[in-house]
Amino acid sequence: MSRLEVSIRRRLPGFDLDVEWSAGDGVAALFGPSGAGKTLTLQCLAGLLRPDAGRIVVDGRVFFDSAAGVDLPVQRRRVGYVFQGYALFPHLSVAENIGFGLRSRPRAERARRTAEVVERLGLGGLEGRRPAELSGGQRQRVALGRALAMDPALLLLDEPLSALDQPLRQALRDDLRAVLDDWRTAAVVVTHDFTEAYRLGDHLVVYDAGRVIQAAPRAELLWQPASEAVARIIGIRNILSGTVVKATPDRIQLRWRGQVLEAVNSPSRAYLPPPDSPLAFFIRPEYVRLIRKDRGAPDPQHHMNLMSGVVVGDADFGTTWSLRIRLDAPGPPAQGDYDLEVEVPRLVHEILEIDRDRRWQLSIHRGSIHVLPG
Amino acid sequence: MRALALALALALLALPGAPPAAAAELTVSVAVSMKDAVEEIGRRFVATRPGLALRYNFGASGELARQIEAGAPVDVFVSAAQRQMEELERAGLVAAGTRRVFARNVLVAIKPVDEPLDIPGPSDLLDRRVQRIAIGNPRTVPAGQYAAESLRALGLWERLQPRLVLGENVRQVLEYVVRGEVDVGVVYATDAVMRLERVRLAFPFPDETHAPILYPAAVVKSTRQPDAARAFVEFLAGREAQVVLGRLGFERAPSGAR
Amino acid sequence: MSAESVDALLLSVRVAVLATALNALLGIPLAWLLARRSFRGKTLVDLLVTLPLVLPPTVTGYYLIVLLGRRGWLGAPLHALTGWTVTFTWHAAVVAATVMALPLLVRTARAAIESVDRDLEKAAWTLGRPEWRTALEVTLPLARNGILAGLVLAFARALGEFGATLMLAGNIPGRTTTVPLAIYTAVQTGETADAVVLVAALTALSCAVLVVAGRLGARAS
Repeated sequence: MSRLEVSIRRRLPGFDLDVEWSAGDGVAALFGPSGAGKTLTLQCLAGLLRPDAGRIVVDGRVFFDSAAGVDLPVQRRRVGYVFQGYALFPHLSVAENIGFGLRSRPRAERARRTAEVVERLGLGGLEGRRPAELSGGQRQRVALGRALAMDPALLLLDEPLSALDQPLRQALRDDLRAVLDDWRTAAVVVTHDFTEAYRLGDHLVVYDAGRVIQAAPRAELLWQPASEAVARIIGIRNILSGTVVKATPDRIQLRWRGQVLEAVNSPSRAYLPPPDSPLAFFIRPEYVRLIRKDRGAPDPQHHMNLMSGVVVGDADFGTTWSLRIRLDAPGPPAQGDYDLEVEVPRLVHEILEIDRDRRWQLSIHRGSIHVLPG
Repeated sequence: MRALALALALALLALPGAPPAAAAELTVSVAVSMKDAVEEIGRRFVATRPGLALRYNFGASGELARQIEAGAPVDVFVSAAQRQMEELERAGLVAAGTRRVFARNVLVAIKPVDEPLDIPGPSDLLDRRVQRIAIGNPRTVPAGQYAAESLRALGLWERLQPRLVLGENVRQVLEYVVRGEVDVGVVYATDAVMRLERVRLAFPFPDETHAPILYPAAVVKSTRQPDAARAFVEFLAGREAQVVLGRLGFERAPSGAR
Repeated sequence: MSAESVDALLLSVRVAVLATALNALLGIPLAWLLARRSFRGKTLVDLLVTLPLVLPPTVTGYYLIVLLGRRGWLGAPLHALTGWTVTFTWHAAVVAATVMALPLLVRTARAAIESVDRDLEKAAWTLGRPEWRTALEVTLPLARNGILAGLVLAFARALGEFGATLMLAGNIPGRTTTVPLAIYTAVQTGETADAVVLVAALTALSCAVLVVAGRLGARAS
């Protein structure tokens, strides 16, 4: 049974939210560009915003059901909400913030629980401080602790890391994941950063303009984006279009930039476009191989989808180099002034002396050409 | 363009009032209880002197006297009590020999038109059901001074103190009665006459309980129009004016009074 | 200082304190409603509350008389029931001061409440607090400095109230003559010594009040 069943329809001036998704155990990550409706969804889950229609069920408890006329008030839902700016009470101490949701419990229990949360989140020694005296990372943990202290039925995190600096973000991302694993509450995280969504979430729900365009376990999303739109939102590069030559359940042959490429079909094996129909596909930049020149001519058996071209631009990203390659094919390039983006580790860039030697042959394994169903 | 028009409009507003159409103008400070009488008499006066205009300034006699002391450009002062006129005379602000007493008034007690209580005489003011009695502020309003004087003479002042409501001028006292805010008001007979449809006469205060209520008028020494001012004061004491005053409820001034 | 002046001072302080207390009771919930809730007639309420700030005090005094005078809309039934009217009593001075000072408190308090981050209130709700307790435990404490500044301003305004007070309460020494009215009468009668003492007392009091309000306002931002 799913832990979370969500179906929300809500109209706002200039925006229309209509989403439906469900998630089992683990963390659900809502991912997509800003303004896609992710925070709105969180607010509906929390009870801070009333959907026009829909149904929200958490661990069997019905939070909202427009058909049945159920709308549990926010105070009764026991939802732990970590706001984007953390929303810590500035006039209360760390301990008072964390214990805020426990006021209905006897004092001794409240103190015990607060101490437990402080301990588990590494906030020892800061109990008496005010939020203004804390660092960004500490504040994030207090916000988390406050939400978790009352044993919430559902944990909601709105861009939990976006208020922090980059190096801190990475470290805290892992911490957060550990906390989520440790606490095992049903949780929903909202983020516009794909790496964050991938790292924090087990189940990814991709939002775009008020709709869900794909909901899947994270690996599936990464390797099988459901459409070109999803691929773009995830940030996949080298999204290209060609023409079908022949499609079988296992393989698809396509024509692109004057040559015939062979790709594996999507795992569903059900995508069988007719010949001469248009086809979208993507190639991950890190899976394009530059063929070394000191090892003789390329072997077609070994080197699939062989192409040749010239480097027309490159960028240094520290640990990797990103190259833009224009193929030796007639006609305009596929992406502006280049055809393919290729990513090579720094070491490879140096050894192959790519800054001097710009002419290269490329090979792409058929499994690295991902077909995007229309 | 709009900004210019706006600036012009503001400039015009800021200018002092329209210049008088007449060649000469008299400013007359008049005690409020004389307002209607003086206005009517003034209309007749102006008819005899083309080119002259009268400008009035109404208020309680005390207030008007303070203004003149402060140097207000007033030509004639019409007071509702001798005291304020004497104060000004002592301060040397009155033109010698121009003072005339031109009317006399009677002090009465009035009640709202729908007041069920019967109050035939001063001692009936002590009735418990008379909760509020309005008089002018004795410190600043002559009608109030007279009222206080009368009540003291009648031995009622101490006992009626807690029920007194003070008005800033006699017309205000009248208003309180008209509005029914108080049960009894002490005003001049001439005031009662003005609002007879809304007030009822309760009783007049006996003459001997207070100093005579005489209305003096005089020319202010600093006037720029001594002739016109003098003429107006004489007109007030003249026959035509007396007819108007009689009609409005004033009594004749005792002869020889100044 | 004459006995009358002392009377006037004591009366003024008593009236101002009571008026401010009434304003706090009425004005703070009103400010919260205007800041945080939308309801039918909200624009009208907002307008009514702001009106005494904008209308000349004598106009407001006039409306108060229409409402509370012995023949007034509310005053007449009150008189019929109890034989009592509020006009020309010190209670009327309190009413006039309260009404004239209310807008100052409501506007200041409302701004202070509106500046409280709504996410904080939402957080409190998710943590189980009902709306009214959230207002008491989160919103109002955080708006405290602004509200206090508003109360101080209201007190100063109540202390100096003249026009509406004169109309509703009259100028009856020992009963309704507040300091501003006493100054007015003293000037009218040429008793400048008394006037000067009262003017000095009121000025000193008002300055002290403004300094306190300024300090609170600075701490609020």
